[in-house]
Amino acid sequence: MALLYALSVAGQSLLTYQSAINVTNKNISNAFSEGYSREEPVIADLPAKSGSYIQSIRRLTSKITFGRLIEVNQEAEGLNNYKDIVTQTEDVFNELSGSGFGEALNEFFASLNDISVNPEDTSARYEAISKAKSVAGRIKQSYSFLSDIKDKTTLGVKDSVDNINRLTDKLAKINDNLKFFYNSNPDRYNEYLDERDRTLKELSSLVDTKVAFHDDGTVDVSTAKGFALVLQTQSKALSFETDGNNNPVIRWSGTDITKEFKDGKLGGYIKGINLINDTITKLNNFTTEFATAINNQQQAGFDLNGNPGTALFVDENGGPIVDASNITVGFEDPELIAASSDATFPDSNNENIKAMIALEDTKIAGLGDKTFSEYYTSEIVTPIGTEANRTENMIATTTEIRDSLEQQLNEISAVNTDEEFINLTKFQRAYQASAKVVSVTDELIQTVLNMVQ
Amino acid sequence: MRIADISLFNIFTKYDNTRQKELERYNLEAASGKKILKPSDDIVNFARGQRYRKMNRQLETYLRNSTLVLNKLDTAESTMGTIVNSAQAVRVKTVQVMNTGVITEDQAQALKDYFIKMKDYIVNQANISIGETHLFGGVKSQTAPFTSDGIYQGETTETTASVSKGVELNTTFNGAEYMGVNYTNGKILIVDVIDEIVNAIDTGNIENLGDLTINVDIDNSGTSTPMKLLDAFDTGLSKIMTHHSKIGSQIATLNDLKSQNESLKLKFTNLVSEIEDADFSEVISNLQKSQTAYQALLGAISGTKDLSLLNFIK
Repeated sequence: MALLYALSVAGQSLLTYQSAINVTNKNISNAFSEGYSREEPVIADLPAKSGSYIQSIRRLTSKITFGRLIEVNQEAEGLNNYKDIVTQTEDVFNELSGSGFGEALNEFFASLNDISVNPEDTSARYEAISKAKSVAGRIKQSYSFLSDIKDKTTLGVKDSVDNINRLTDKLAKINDNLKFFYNSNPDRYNEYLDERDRTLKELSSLVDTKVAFHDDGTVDVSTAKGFALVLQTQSKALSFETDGNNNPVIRWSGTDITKEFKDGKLGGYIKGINLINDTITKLNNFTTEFATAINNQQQAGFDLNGNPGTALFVDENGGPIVDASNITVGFEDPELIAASSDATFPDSNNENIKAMIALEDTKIAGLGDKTFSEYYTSEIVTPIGTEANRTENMIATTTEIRDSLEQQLNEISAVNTDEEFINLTKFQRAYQASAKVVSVTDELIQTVLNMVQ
Repeated sequence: MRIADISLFNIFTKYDNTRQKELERYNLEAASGKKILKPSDDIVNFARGQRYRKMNRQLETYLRNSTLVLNKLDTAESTMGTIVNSAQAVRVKTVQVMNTGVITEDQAQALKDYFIKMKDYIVNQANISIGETHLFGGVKSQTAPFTSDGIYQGETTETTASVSKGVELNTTFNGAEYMGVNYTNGKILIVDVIDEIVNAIDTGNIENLGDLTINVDIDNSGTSTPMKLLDAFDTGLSKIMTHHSKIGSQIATLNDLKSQNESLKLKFTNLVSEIEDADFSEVISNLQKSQTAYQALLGAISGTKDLSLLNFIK
């Protein structure tokens, strides 16, 4: 073998290990980069005793684990965002911290009792008006809080849709680049694969999707029900609008697909809005039944002046239906409380106020044959508490699975610096050895040249 | 199994978060004294607590009503006791007069004054009020139920208030019944008899007092029966005494219910406390356990974070 050829082999080897050191350097640099998949130089010997070369730079990952992680991440993010809304809703009715209107309701009925003992007592009547205002105020406040949570969540849905559109557009561009760098530039190709996986993970935190992987690394993404979001290098944007009740409507090519989303932040938000809508419906139902029952009784009696009673709870806008959005107290004058069932004795008869008090324990047909307080506790507060509890448990399980999958993926993909330092030392030694070969060959050539002198 | 550097830090972050959450929870429990901080902490016990709280609120109302009703019953009972005592004194005097026979004019005037004063006293007592509420006028409680002649002008309908579930006691009374009104003329029967005695004194007919009669309808039957004055007086007094006992019985019932309601309230308060209040020894123990676990975690992080081959590569 010619000495110059030996020099050429050693030079090739130096370049190979320099590249290997570069790969190790890249790995060490990205030891704490989220979503980075470590790379491994595959060094092979060149045929015909011509030294070594980097056959490929292998990107270490697991498509199966990653695919599973995407699915679990969708579920976990959906649950987490749903839990945020459930918790906010629960706070609206957390009697234990002083919110909600259960205690105010009890106090309202208790205040009527004082009138029953002394119907002519104006101070007892003032107290009852004050408690009625408290119940109405708290109901309206609960409604206002719920509406506010819903409005903010609807805005969250809009932001999520914008983000989904941004990410699907980005994925389409990544697909384009993957096609371009496939087989031509493994280094850049791997970088785009990392970016693809990071984007897919981010997308999975927003929406439940199905991902189809192709051999060239490109992906097609669709909603769980098959509405395509990314097809090769084309992306399809979702549109957002709201209906008359400020409910979000998400359209794909004009088709309303709002109900399709179950997981991811978007699915969590939509489930949360459904819960709020359900709670508002029950709150309105409660309010209407409560106001109607009290008003009917009030109108069956006579006030302190002997006049027929007027509605205690009214729509602040003057409408015929009293609900949680508009409930207010119809009069300030305590003498207008119709405690008497006999116009002749408006200041001593207490039969009507006793009938009103009895409503506290009356099962109301419109509330599923439940009393007011029981309906409030078992139909409004309990379902929210149960949902919060259930979601919390599911989050614990799903998060544990997600952490485990991430751990598994990290075992394969993430960087261990000790390992990289060992590789670095290994490549350094190989580089030093090749350099030594260059040095020795150089000496040999020098010796040969000296022989010529 | 490879352990990536980032995994170690992920584990530290995860468990640091877990321990801090635990510490926050136990600190909250210790600070608030509650183990249920929101409905979802224990939904079943939350609902139970709400129901007990409502029952407690009702019991508080009953107890407040009981105090007010008891005040009215006590006043009514004491008033009727006074009327009974006065009536018994009048009866003794009446019997004396009947047994005396002929009396002088001065004695007659003194007797007449005595009977009129006793009558006024009885009528005034029957018109007793608490504030502006007359107890013996039934639902018509804002005006005096009896005229100065003892004629009933109140209502027969009474007012009641709840003092326990399903138990209502009087806050006003039907004076016609409680004061033993003679439905023949609407006047309190014992007052009616006193009027007859005064009339006999005025007409000088006192020696025939034992033979005088009065038409009596004490049961509102619509039929009057002639009765001798003393018999009529006894009938009226007997009716007052019967109703006096009835009020006494209501007071006894009320006191019984009151102590029962107080006991129930205490029981429900304890139940709510058992359901919602934190067990401090348990909370503090848990808090200390969490603190120890947190310290162990920080120790583990501190001991592991600097371990690297880098320290040995020259």
